[in-house]
Amino acid sequence: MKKEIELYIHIPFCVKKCSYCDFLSFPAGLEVQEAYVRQLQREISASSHFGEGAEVRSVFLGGGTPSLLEAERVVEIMSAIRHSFCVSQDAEITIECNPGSTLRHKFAVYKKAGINRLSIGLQSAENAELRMLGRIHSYEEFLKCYQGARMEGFDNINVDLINCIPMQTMHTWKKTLRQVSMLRPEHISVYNLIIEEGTPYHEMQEKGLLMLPDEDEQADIDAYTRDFLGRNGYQRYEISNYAREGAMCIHNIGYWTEVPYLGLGLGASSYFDGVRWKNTSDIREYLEADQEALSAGRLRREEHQLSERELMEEFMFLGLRMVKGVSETDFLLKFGHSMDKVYGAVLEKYLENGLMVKEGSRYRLSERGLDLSNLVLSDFLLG
Amino acid sequence: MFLGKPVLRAQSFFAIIKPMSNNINQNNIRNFCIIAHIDHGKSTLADRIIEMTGLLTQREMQDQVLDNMDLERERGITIKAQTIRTVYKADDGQEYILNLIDTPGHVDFNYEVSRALAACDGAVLVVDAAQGIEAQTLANVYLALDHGLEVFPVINKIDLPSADPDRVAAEIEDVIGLEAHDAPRISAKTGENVHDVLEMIVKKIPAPTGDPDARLRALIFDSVYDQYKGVIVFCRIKEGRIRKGMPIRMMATGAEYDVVEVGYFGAGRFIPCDELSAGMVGYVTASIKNIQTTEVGDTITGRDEPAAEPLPGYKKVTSMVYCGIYPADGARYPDLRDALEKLKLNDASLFYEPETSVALGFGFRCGFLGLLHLEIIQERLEREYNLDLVTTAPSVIYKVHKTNGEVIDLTNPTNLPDPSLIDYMEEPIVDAEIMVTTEFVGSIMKLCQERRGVYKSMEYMEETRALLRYELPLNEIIYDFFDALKSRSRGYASFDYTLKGYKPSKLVKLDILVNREEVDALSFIVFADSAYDRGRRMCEKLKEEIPRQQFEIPIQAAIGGKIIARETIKALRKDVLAKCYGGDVSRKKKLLEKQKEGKKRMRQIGNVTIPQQAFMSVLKLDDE
Repeated sequence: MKKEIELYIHIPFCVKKCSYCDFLSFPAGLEVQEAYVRQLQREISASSHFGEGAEVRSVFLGGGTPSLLEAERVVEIMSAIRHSFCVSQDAEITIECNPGSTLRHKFAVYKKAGINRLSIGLQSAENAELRMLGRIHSYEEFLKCYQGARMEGFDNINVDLINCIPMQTMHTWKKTLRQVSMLRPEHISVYNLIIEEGTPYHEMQEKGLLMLPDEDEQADIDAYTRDFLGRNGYQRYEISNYAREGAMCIHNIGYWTEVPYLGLGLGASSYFDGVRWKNTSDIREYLEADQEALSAGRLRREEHQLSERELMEEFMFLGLRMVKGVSETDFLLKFGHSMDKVYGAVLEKYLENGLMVKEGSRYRLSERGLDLSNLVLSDFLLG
Repeated sequence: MFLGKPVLRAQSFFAIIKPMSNNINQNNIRNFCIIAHIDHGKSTLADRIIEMTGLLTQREMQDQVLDNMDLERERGITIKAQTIRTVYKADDGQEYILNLIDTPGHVDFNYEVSRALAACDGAVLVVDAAQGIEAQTLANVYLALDHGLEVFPVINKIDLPSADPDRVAAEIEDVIGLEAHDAPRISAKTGENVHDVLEMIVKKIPAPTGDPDARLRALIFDSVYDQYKGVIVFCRIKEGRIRKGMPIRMMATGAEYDVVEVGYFGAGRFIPCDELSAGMVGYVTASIKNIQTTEVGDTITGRDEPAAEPLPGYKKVTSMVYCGIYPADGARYPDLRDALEKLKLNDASLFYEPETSVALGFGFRCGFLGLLHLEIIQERLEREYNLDLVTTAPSVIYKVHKTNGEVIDLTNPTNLPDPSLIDYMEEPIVDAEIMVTTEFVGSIMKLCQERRGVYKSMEYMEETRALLRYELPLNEIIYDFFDALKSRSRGYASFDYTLKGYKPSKLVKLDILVNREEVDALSFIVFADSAYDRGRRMCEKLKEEIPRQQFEIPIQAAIGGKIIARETIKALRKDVLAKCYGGDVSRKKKLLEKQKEGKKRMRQIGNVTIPQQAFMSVLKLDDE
């Protein structure tokens, strides 16, 4: 079997920055977008050696708002990828879309370019909450967009939701969940709002202007989410991801199970041959890099070869985010040490207090363990 | 031990002043200090005096200050010398040597202040033209007058828009009884009329007296430790002479040395000379390795021809406030020990001894002159030695009279004997003076009442301000009294106290149980009638301070095994990072690392982790 790799393509543009967002994205004119895509194509071709002897099992166009690009640009990116990499026949190819900036005709073009999965950022079905988040679309616009996607034949759609946001109550959250699950998307991601430094929300929080649900309300919201989605045929397979039968996101699973991936574009993260790095976040520097700089990897920042210790840490704290957990056997095969020898004390502690469960040769977080995952996972850092 | 602002003023005017010959006429020496309430401008006036007598511009002064500091730093000398000698050419045409002996203004250092005052012949009283007399002003003036010093007032900050020098002059006359109609009205900031202050120093402060040919008696008023020279003793020669090579004896400690060097103080620098004689202020080094042998207040005399009697007023300094200091990271215990050792070299009044706590591991029980002293030491340990500390609630010394007649000085609540073995207990009482604007008199009286204060008297200073006198138990002051005072007077109250003595009192030990385990480091001694209330508030406070954990945690307060209050910390329900950072694993890891770091900074007590600040909770129990 050929080695499997994944590609992540970062599109750092959006119409308007949302109040909670700290991803690398910003508004930009058409010219910048075009220049960016040209440079991206160059970077893709300069990175082709990573694909030697490997098959691409997933491509993810994330952002920002990739659907903001003119559809032709997306086609160009896809053909550059196919030109430089061997993309598997049944590869999962996802593009992120925002309802406000997506037009139906783009979906048809995406389809032709081989994109087979859409990830739509809805966040909430309540218009008041959307406004509060600084989103520029309404629930009705999302509906139109979702229907359009279905009509174009997309049969693998993810809907992103955020909970524990200002103004949200258990009541409105239930409504959002009900409405979205009725549409039967294949996949639903539910993220808790995190107030990140440097965002308008952070500023508001510092000033005490942000009314957020308290810990107990949040825990109730989470518990309801798990329960409701479970009853409606969505299986939780990772801390924040739920999927219907057979629709788990291949790309995301790759992140949690140490599949090598190449991040292309501004600020994108990569993991290849045990090395992690990030591209520069400076748009000017990115755009000005010449062929030679691209080939020599001079845009790479924070390049770091993982030690065996760090590889073990990642194996655990990433793998345990998956509901099915980690396998003792895999650990032994990979590192030549038994998991027990390295993590015996921690495992025992959490098995004992019920935050972890052991089934056969697999360790996983219990439901309560998933709720307290930071507490548990931080204990798997060595030294 | 002078702990005010670091003083490195006008570093080099000894460059202008040639080392003086030895035959200085006593009549041309003035030894004085400046006394003031905090922030009334003591340091600024000192700066100005130095600048004006040293004939340096402000600019030059700044430059030289910096140069000198770097030099000193390279040599590793601690500069604390807040005593400065300068030369002033007065309007009468004569040159005078002015020895400015700076004093710390805080009640904690009362004894040190009194020794510094004993080295002076007069004092300049600085009063803020806007704020008028404050509690420390009074305390300092009385102390200076007690020492027989000539005190003359100076009204500072006349450049402020809110300045009212006439009112303040009247206040000084009414309240203190010092003549103030001719007090210089100055702005130390701009230098306006500072010349008048210098003339007053020359005219009003008496020249020193004392027979230079008598047997040596020199008063130690401070000392610093230098790694090359050993202890540098600051002294005022009252009688006789001291010179290089002379064998000396410390009269109280009995230690004997041979003088290596004598000299006087350039600003921030020591300038050697051949001899110091009666009336002069200077320093002595004698390869003294142990600062304990050179106690402030002791008298230096000659070994071969000793004086018959030491100078009056010496007393052994004792700690008033104790607390446990522990490294947040137990592995840094040796670093904490080294740091305390080094601080002790420069601060004879710091006391410490090793102690062990079930909750906190290895640490030290430390004794301080007062709360400010405690805070200074804590801050220096954290800043200069980069230590992360867990400090337990401060405690005073209780006298425990046991039924077998034995009396214990109790400095750590944990060591309280079984109640059945205790006959009765006594606690230290202070005389407190609180100066407050009249609108807040009511709330301050209420505060004192709550703190078991016994009302003594109240005087109106003028229509808007009053001086309250209360007798208060020291243990009511050391918790959060300052904060409460400030918040209940919107910052307008000032406060001073002196130790009065001990009084029998109904005291109990309040224990705190976290998850049903007693945490020794959280125990404290409390007045029996306040125990329920304190216990309840302590539990509430700890509920706020201790984060939710994997299971429910009861917090209980108990007296002798009987539970008097309880709170419950609910189990943690959620601690999750759901966000996906597009494959940015290092970011995720950083967050986990931060969490792990956070865990390290907590104390593990049984199954429960307790954050450092929780151990100081008892300090924050005031309701209002």
